[in-house]
Amino acid sequence: MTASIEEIMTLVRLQLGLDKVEPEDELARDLGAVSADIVNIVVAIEDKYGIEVDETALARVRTVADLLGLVVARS
Amino acid sequence: MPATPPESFSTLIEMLECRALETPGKAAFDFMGVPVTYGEMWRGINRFADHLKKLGISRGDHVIVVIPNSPAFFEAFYGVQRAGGIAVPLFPGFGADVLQKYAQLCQARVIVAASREAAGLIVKSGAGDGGSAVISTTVEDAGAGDLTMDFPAVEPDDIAFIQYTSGSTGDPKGVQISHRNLLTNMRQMIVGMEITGNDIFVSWLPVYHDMGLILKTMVPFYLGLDLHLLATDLRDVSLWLEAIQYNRATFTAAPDFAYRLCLRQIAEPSNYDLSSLRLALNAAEPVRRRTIEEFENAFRVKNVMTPAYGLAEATVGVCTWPPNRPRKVDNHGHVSVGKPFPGVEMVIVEDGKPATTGRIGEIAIKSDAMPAGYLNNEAANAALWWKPGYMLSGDLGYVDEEGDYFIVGRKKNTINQAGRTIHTQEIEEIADGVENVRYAVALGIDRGRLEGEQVYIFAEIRQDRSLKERDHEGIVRAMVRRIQSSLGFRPGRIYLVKPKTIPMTYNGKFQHQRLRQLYLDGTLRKRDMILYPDY
Repeated sequence: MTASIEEIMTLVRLQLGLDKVEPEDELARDLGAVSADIVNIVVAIEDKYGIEVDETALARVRTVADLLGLVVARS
Repeated sequence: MPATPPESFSTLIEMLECRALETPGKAAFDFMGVPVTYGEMWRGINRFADHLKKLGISRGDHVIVVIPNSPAFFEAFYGVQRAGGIAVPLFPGFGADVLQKYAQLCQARVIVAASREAAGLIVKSGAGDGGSAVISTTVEDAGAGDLTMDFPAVEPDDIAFIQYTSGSTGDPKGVQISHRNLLTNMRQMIVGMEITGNDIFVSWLPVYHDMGLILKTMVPFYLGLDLHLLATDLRDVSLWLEAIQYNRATFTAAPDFAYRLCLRQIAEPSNYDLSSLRLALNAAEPVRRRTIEEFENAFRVKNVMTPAYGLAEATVGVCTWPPNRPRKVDNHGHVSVGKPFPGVEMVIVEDGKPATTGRIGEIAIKSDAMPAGYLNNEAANAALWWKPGYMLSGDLGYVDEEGDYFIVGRKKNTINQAGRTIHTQEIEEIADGVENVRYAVALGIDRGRLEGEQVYIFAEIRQDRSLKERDHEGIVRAMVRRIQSSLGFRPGRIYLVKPKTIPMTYNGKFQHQRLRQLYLDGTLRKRDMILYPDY
């Protein structure tokens, strides 16, 4: 399945309860996500796109755009 | 002056006064590296007690304390007791609405906040709905002038503080813990965990909750041992590990998920030297075999992580695996929590009778440190006892031939969220309040990630064809925000489901376990019960 940045942004808005997110926003610094929030976002991406993200890839995620990279790297 | 033997303390106030008289210049603890002496702490306690007295607090009054780890917490918590009151420590992440609810539950007139700003928010919210006459204050508000030092005598059977927990009906229940309960349980834990005056404690556990409060701060005061206290910060566990290394700590404690965070956040465990550790207690949520093995391998320590079990209804500590002995793991991966502390008895109860060896049942506990029960809650108190003296824990477990106990699960609908136990109903009540939601059910779902169990919410929404996908998104976002602002965390997933998706018993109770099964085996998706989102 292909992913778009819009889909990822919607997913992040849902997980974090935010009205607005931008691709360059940093999940922790700009959006206030804690470690569990980031993992929940990644698990949602795994469910939506049917992929598996390993711990090392997860550790490199900083921005919303990086999340799209997780899907693109695997499809 | 001869040192007073800890055995002779009969109240926490006497204990702290003794420490302040005998070793006023010794550090009671350091917070983020800054020492606070027993003398300073005692003066702060008296100053704040005097302030409370001027606010009209007298013997037996409840005072809520919402202060994160800091020296101010101790001045407030013990200042309340010094003034003859009963402290009610609560999670500082609670919103003003939740604090007002607790104030009503325990009839508290005073809330002690960490800052004047936080104190202002609490009162503002209370003023809105009329009836509340809660005063908020901070330790800064205590004057520096002359103190009367004329306080009511504190007796061993006085209640020192109320520990709120999530009960089986979801309403928070306050365990009434006396000075005698605390001193007895401290003595039990000191023997069981082989703690001595030479131990060096490091803790970042929240000081407003039982394990962080009693085991990690009261026990050090009791024995006069070194305590290095940190702020609770789950985003960066390196400070915790550095404090262990820097202070050559021998004893730390945390729930299982905190050790998993170390594995997640620390890229190079070999940069840390934790060899001084005698004991890294793993308690307050299910102990995972994998966490222990991976942590000990990564940080090159052996038989240091020690599984333990306890609950507020028994003051705190109930049993522990003996420190530094090889652990015992059963065929299902459950790690033994060992044998009860001296003065504690555990019984596995099945169908109202003691179960035979190896059979799983509810754990009943009899302890010399057993609190009298919950505050203002006769129904819950009546349901708490299996038979006189034996309290039903709500946890399921079994005992093996050698008398070692294993915890295998919970009887109640509770979720372990970042070390806190939350009853599903607390979350459900908040989710129910969101517009267009009929009712919601919360489950703890563990996806095998290091963060462990996360809160999944299934919300039935009103059948309304005008509700579009954009509205669905709005419902979910509103629910996330409400839970975050009231409970201090975000759910792992929220599903909007069709009416009549959530299974109920004939008398209208949600069937949490049945819903869990329908979700995990894919039935909800297959039957097209999930409206939003599509994953």
